[in-house]
Amino acid sequence: MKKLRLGSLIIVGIVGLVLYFSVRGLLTYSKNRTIESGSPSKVVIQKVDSPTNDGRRQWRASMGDIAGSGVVVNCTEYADGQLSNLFILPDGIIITQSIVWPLSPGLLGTKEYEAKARAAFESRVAIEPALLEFREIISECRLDGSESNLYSSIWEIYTIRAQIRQLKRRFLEKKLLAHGVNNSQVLADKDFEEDALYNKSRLEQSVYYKYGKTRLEKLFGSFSDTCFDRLMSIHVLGNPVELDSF
Amino acid sequence: MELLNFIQMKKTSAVIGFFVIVIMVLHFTKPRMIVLDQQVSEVLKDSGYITQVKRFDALQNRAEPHKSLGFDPTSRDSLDKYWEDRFDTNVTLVTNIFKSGTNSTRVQITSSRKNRHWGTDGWELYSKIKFQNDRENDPSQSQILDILSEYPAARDSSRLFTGAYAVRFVLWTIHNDAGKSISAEIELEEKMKSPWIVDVSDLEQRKMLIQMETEMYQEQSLRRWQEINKEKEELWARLKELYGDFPKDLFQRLMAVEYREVFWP
Repeated sequence: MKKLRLGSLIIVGIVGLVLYFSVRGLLTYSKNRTIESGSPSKVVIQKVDSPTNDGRRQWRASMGDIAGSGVVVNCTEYADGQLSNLFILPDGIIITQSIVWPLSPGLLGTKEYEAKARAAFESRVAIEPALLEFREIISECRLDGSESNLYSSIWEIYTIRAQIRQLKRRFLEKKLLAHGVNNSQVLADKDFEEDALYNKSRLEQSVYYKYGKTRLEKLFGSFSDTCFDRLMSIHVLGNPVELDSF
Repeated sequence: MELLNFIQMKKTSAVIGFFVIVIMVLHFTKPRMIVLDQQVSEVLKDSGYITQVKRFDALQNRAEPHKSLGFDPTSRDSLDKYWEDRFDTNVTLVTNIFKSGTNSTRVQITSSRKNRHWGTDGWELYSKIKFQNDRENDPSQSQILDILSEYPAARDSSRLFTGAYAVRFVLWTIHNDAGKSISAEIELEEKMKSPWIVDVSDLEQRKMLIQMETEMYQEQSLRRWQEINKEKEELWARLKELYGDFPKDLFQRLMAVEYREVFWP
């Protein structure tokens, strides 16, 4: 008899536990609908070094779809916005590239930048409707301090998208490998396999995404992958104008 | 007396045991069973988008008379024929009004024919075959399925691949349109260097020509941008039709999917 009572108590205990986990599962299921997973424009960071005293920072990255194939870019960011990239491609191909980010690091987060970006936005919006979409998405993302940095962030995103557009243009024009290389390196796209060109494009894209997103993170403290992906779905028609003219 | 108690206990244990089994079964089949309207709406409210989910309006839930597939899934020719025969014979006229800038409006009248296979089991299977074939060449397309599956109504839908293939098709179209926009830019720059502009000695006339060419290019670019937006809007409407609704944030993330062809001209 005692055994039966004990058995019943154990069964009731199991029922309780199952019910608890079921209800908890029900409550948390919708919340756990992780929208951070499956990021299409995911840059896979393989290594990040701490910044040095002179403001230099190094990291190694790849893009989601090619990360497993061993192709990587080693990027060194300099305090003045210069980026030095070392692309390691299959078949032992190594390409170096030096580029300058079109927006000054010193201006980021200042009132001057916000005012200039706002003026540039207003002068450009009629011929670049993507700017309105950027504004809408940023407002929807509910970022901390988005009101005071709204136009700066729009300009940052515009710059990233324009960089990607320029990259695609170089790919179309078969001038991908010549961009940002020093004179001693004479590289022509036609001399390389399609795979090498594709990998180089994706790695260069990862640099623009990573560096561009880092700037947005500096501006807001943090910037979600979800919001970034949504912004990266918008096509732009041209290049941002120089902010110095405002 | 003890025997009666023993029998009573046995019955109670049996009843409790039965409930345990039922609850366990429900517990393990939970992911397919808990997609309640209210929960989905709550998630959407959290992300600040569409608040009303009408799952039961979804195309997948509409009664469809049983039809044969209309193609042989193992035959490539049959699949190609199914694709070619997809258009309905009825032509629908569509009027599009495009507004660019503050005072420019363009009215476009186009004809369109519906895909008569849309929403059928046959189209779902066709989409699945095509999508999976494409995915073999480019595994990164799985991103489309991953993002679609984040929306429970799409994940649990019997039209998951119909949506995935539609997304893939529109991404490809947009990629082409974006490529054309870049080509137009290159063309404009070449025109600026051509004798048509450079050989004009009158500075004012040259300026005027440059302005005219630039404005034409900008107008053309805006039109292309509107076309891209229209394609996106139409796709979003189709996804809503398939799954009862589809959140804006997920849709925008779908539109950011980049696959291998993104860089191919």
